[in-house]
Amino acid sequence: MSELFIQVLEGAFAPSVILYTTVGVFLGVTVGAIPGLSGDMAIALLLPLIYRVAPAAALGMLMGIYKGSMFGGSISAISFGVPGTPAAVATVEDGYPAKLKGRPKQAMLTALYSSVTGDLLSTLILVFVAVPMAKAALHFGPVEFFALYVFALMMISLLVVGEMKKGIAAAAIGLFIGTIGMDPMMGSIRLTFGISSFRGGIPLIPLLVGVFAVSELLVQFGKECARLSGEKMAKMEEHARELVGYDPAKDRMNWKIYWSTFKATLLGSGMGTFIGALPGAGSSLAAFMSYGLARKLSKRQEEFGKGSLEGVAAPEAGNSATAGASLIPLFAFGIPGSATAALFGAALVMQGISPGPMMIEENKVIIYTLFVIIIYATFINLFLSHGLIPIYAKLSRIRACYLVPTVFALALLGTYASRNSLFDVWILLAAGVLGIFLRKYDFPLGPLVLGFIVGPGAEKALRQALLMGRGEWSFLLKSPIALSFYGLCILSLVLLHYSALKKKIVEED
Amino acid sequence: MQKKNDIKSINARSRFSLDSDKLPGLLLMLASLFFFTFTLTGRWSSGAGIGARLFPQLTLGLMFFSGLVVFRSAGGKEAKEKFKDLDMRLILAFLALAVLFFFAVLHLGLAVGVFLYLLSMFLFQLRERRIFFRAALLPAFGITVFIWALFTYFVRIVLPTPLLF
Repeated sequence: MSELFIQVLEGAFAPSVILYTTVGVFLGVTVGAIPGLSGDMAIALLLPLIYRVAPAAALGMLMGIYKGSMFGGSISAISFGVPGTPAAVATVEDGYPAKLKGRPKQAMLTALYSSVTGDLLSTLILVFVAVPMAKAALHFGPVEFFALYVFALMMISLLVVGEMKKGIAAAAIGLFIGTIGMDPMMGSIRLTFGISSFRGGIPLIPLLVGVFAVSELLVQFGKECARLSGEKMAKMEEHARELVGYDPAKDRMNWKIYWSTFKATLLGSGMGTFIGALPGAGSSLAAFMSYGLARKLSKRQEEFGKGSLEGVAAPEAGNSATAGASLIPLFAFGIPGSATAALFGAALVMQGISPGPMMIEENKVIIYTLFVIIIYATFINLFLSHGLIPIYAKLSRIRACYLVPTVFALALLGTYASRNSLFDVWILLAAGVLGIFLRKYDFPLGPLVLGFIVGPGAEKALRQALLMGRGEWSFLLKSPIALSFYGLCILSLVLLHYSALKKKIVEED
Repeated sequence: MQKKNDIKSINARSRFSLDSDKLPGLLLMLASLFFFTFTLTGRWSSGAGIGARLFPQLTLGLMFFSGLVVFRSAGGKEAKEKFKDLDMRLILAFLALAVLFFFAVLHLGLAVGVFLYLLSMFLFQLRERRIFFRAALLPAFGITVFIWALFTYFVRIVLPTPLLF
């Protein structure tokens, strides 16, 4: 035990690991602050580049990006009223008005402190919950696992922001793409259309980078975002300058202010952790629900929307609290609960770690090391961001016309270099085009990627379960655990349908 | 009532619009039917109905029915604000340039390929500004050095030797 403890500490606090994590946090806050770039995109872009880096350092860097980007989105949201990431949309509601009222520093630091608080709480829950859950999952057989996969896919599709049917359609596309290539049980070659490169299946990295990063870059280029975003930002700045009679003396942050937002921070942290742990419910949903809850329970409801610091604290705590919680299903069952967790799953696979209930047991040192890194990355985020907020705010003004080609070049080169395969480049571009199409028609991308990743596991579990039951489908319903997962699926469907119906009736009235 | 009629008329007008959800719904159904035929004819392992074709068929079935639901419930909804001013010609140009860039890297080398690509992209995007040196040449050079250093020293990824030099 003590030997494990020493190994974990040595691994987590190795200078290279700290350096990579710090660079990750810096990159994360930067990409989060730049509208159009996101943590997911940065993680996807870095995946092909970090496969030669030691596991702890590589995973620490990705974790740093994830954590940093959660806070980074609030920088441009507060500074310019333009959310850096979708998760920061709710922060604009009060963050930007607070800035216009001459309290940018207070708003920014409130966002930082509540973000760090939410992140830390959810990380601690991850650390203490994932291990016992993984131990419980060791008793699962194919029947239970298939039910769990169905539950995860169902939740992913239902809880996405947008339309449920499109979530299910996107998951189905992902599941189908995952069936191309060799079948996981018998080794039959399926749906390759005579193209030998398809035999190994669609490669994960080009698909991820294409869907998440390339499609967004193509959209930005297609809009000539270079000009548009520059003009928009300039207008916002001009507007802000006109309204602010800034007095630094009135904009000091202190414990009293932090304490006044603490209730909202706790509410956001709780909501974010709960929503983050559910497969599929993303940080945007957590931020909005935290904002709504904090507003409902606040004694100063009338100040919301007019620069309330509680209105900044709640969504920031909410979106950051999803960071740790969304990794719970991945660490416990090997099923990624969000698109970012799916990217982490891919990173783990690249480092030779197979996500699943045995993951923690088989890779104790690296997983516990990762837990320590996840915790201290939160403090790196706090100290780094505290000092560098003005620099991040300046970085968020980098013109998209420089960013888009640069990031695209990195995506293309990184994808090619990961396997020296031209086929991967074609997949990257095709995935980018598919991503644009899906974005245009408002299909969520998360379920597609998750369907692709969990598909082979779900297929294996289904076919193993059916083999055990001699082809009888009713065998899938013979386990109480499996039945409870199916029951949860039906319950979620009914609840969501009921709430949609209620909303429709209210709207019609 | 008036509002409902307005919505109906908007829906009727945009029923066949490319921005309506009918198109992705239809494409999903057609794609699933197209691929389904391959699952019927493919020579894959089978066994008591739980062979290699089972899961693709299940996923294609799900794809078809979700496509059907998307198609049937499409009310001529307009595309998201973000995509309204999307110029598809620009996207195609970007993709074509990306392919050219990639082959330039393979044939001319990382540094030259990246520099030419970035310079052409910056010039294209900043064509109205006419400040060639400061706005295009210098950033292209600086970013090329960054990417070259990143690949050569930081991540130490070796790209194939260029064919030209």
